[in-house]
This record gives sequence, C-alpha cells and structure tokens, in this order.
Amino acid sequence: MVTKKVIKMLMLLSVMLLSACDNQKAEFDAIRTKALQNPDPWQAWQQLNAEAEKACPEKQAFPSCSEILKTDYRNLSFSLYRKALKQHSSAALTDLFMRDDPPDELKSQMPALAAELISIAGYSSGDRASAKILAAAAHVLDRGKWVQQDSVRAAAYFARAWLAYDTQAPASLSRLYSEQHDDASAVLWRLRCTGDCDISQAPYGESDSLSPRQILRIQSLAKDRSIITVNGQASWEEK
Amino acid sequence: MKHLLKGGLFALCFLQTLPVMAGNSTSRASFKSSSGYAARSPAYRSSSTGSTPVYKSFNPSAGNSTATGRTDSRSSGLRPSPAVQQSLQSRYGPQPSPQLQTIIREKEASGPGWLGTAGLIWLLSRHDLSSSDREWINNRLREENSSENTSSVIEQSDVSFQWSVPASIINGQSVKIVIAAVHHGKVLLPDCELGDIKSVHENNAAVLNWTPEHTVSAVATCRAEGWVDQRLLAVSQTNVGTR
Repeated sequence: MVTKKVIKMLMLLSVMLLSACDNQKAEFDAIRTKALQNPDPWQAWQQLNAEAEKACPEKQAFPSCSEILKTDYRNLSFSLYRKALKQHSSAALTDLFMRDDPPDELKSQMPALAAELISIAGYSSGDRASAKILAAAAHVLDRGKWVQQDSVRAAAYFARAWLAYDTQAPASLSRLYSEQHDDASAVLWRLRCTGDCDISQAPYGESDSLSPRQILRIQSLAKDRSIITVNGQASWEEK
Repeated sequence: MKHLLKGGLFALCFLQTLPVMAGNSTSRASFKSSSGYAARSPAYRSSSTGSTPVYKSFNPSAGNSTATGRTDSRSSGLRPSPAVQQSLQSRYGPQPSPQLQTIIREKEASGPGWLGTAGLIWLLSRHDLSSSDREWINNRLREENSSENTSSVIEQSDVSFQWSVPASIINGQSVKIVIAAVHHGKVLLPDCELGDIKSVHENNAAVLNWTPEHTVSAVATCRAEGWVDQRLLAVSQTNVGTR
C-alpha cells in the first residue's frame, strides 16, 4: 500500500519535472526568436545574457537547467557576439579586448580584430563614450600581443582616454613610461593618478633618478593637461 | 514511510541534476559574462563610467608578468646587484703587489662585496702601500665611481620641444601648430604628425595645419634626435574655451 503511494508520487514528480523542462525549452525558443530578430546583435547579446541568467541562474544550490539548455544559451550567445563583431560593433570589440583570453574560436581572427579596434578608436571623437574603446586600443598597442607593440601610439590613446574621463589611464601611462625608463614622464602621470585611479598599478621608484628641483618642475608641468611627455631636462629651469 | 518518501524525492532531484553536474565537470568552453552568459575575464580596470565591467590593468606585476611577457627591467638590469660584484683583484688587468693581494683576500674572506668604494678608501689609508699599489687602488676607485654613475643615472631627454599651440581649438576652424626642438642650444627640425596629417617645415620649425572636425581630442606627436614628444589637444565644439 505504502509502496504504491511512493511510486505514484515519484511518477507525478517525474511528470512535473518533464513538463518544467518543456516550458524552459519553449521559453528559450521565444528568447531565441526575439534575439535573432533584433537588428542590433550587441543589444540582443546583452538582453540574452540577462534572460539566460534569469532562466538558468548560476548561483543556486541545485542547477535549474539541463546541460542541453545551458549549451543552447551559450551557442546562441556566442553566435550573437560573433555577429556583433562582424558588424564592427565597437562595444563588442572593446569587450573582446578586455578579456585576458579570447574565445578559442576567435583566436585566429584576433590580429585583424585588433587592427580594427585600433582604427575605430583612432577615429573616435574622444568624448566620454569613447573612453572604453580608447583605453582598450591603448592596452592592445601597449601589450603587443595581437599587434606589434607601439608605445608612442599607446600613449596617445591612453592620453585621449584620460581626457575622456578614463580614471585608470594615468596609472597605465605612468607604468608605460616607467618601462621605457622615461622617469620624468612616469612621475608626471603618477601625479595625475588621483581619485579613483589605482596607483598600485604603476610601480614606484621613478623619482629616484630625479633631483628635487626636477620633481617640483614636473609637478608644475602636470597641471598643464596638454603635456603627455616630459622632455628637455636641460631647459627645465628656463621655462 | 516519511523517510522513504523523502529519500525518493531526493533521489529524483539528484538524478535530474546529474547531467548538469557532469557537464560542469568537463569544463566545456563557455562564453559567459559576469552578468550572464558571457563571462568577462577582466583585463584591466576601467574607467570612470564603469557601470558594467571592472577591468584590471595589464600591469606586469610579479603575479602576471609572464602572462604579459613583460618584466620590470629596471629591477634587473640597471643597477648591479652587490652579489654580482666580484673581487676587483681578478676583474681588472694589472695585478697589485702580492702583499696587497693578501690583504684583499683576507678582507674578502669576511664576506662578499667587501671591496667596494669604502674598502678601497680603507686600503688607501694604509701607510705601508707602495706607490704602484696606491696607483692601482686609485685606478680602481675611478673605475668604480664611473661605473656607479653610469648605472644609477638613467638617460633623460636633453632635447627640448617648444610648442606653439592656440589657446583655443574649435571644431571646424583651422589652426596652425608650430613645433621647434632644441638640443644644447642647437636648433633641430622635428618631424610631427597629427592623425593623418604630417608636418611641413617652415623657418626651422615643424608646422601642423589642422582643421578639427567632430572631435573632442587629438594627440600630436613629434620626433627629434630619437626623442618623442606628444601633446594632447582638447577641442571644443563652440567658442567657449577648452577643458
């Protein structure tokens, strides 16, 4: 008698679970249709992320989605991401180069995508909306992984990002000049790393090779926002 | 009975989750973000606006220097470590007298790095040195001082770039930027560029003729004698001055 009840309960639960799976599949189909109809694949990708998180929350004691459904979401997400890159979305390019490691499927395209990122950033207006792409392009040029390292261009992009209110750009510039042993310029940008700028990203010690008078001179130069590099040590005192 | 029912329910739930857990354990290549299905593997810390991602810098700190392929060469190359300082007796050409060699060996036995500038000066203070030994020590001192100087002073630019930039740069209005470079009083002719524009030379100076269009900023880059100087140019939309 008791065993029969248990079997009935188990069967009922199985039916409920199967029906829940069907609902999830139907929900995914609706989400996919909507995403594919969106003319802006980057926006569709962002919306999909939010919906996938709702449907299959990551942080749960018991996973609520089957692995098949998770794979469906992942595949759709990647397909939208790739579509956005194909459409030269600057947000997608910026996002891609913020990652330490790109998806394996995109690795062969990274040099071409990096060149595209740098080109788009170069023609950006330099307003606040451009801050991220300028900083991403600067890091690509500075890092030299996907394109040949070009510290001069990297510095130009970082400086424009700074003017577009990227708070971390001064620390990046200080580190860049420090690596080039341009201690005066490294100190100049360290001085500009204020507020939310994380100074720990730039190593200390550049000022060791500078005299007190030179350091004071650099402090004065740092107030002029147009100055990126400090040159002409011999003539500092004339200025 | 109750326990049996609970056990059954738990088993069912467990069976349902098994494939998911198995999928996770194989660590399939995922494409997830912090906000959902596109995990961001942050590369650098942003920026201001920073609503979405929190980036980290590509800073080649101790932890990730191999990843970026960069190390701080200042710590490795420029200043000789005391451990590298070997016996001057064997490093330099003509040898001192056997008597001085014995003294040096005895002192060096007390620990590495003894024979630096201070040790040489101490040796000079001895009254029992021959003139040739004194000369040897003085030569070592001169070499020691010159090597210390070259290793601790990093080359700083001695080219001064002089920029003449209009106080206000406005979109749609052409500007003339004049750049001169001076090296120890000698006038140099720098080569400059601003985006696609290259400088022309006028009266021993480089001139950039530029008409900004729909931009907020630009960077002009000049080169002379191997040094690079850059200026950040802020462009305003209207005639109200620059940031």
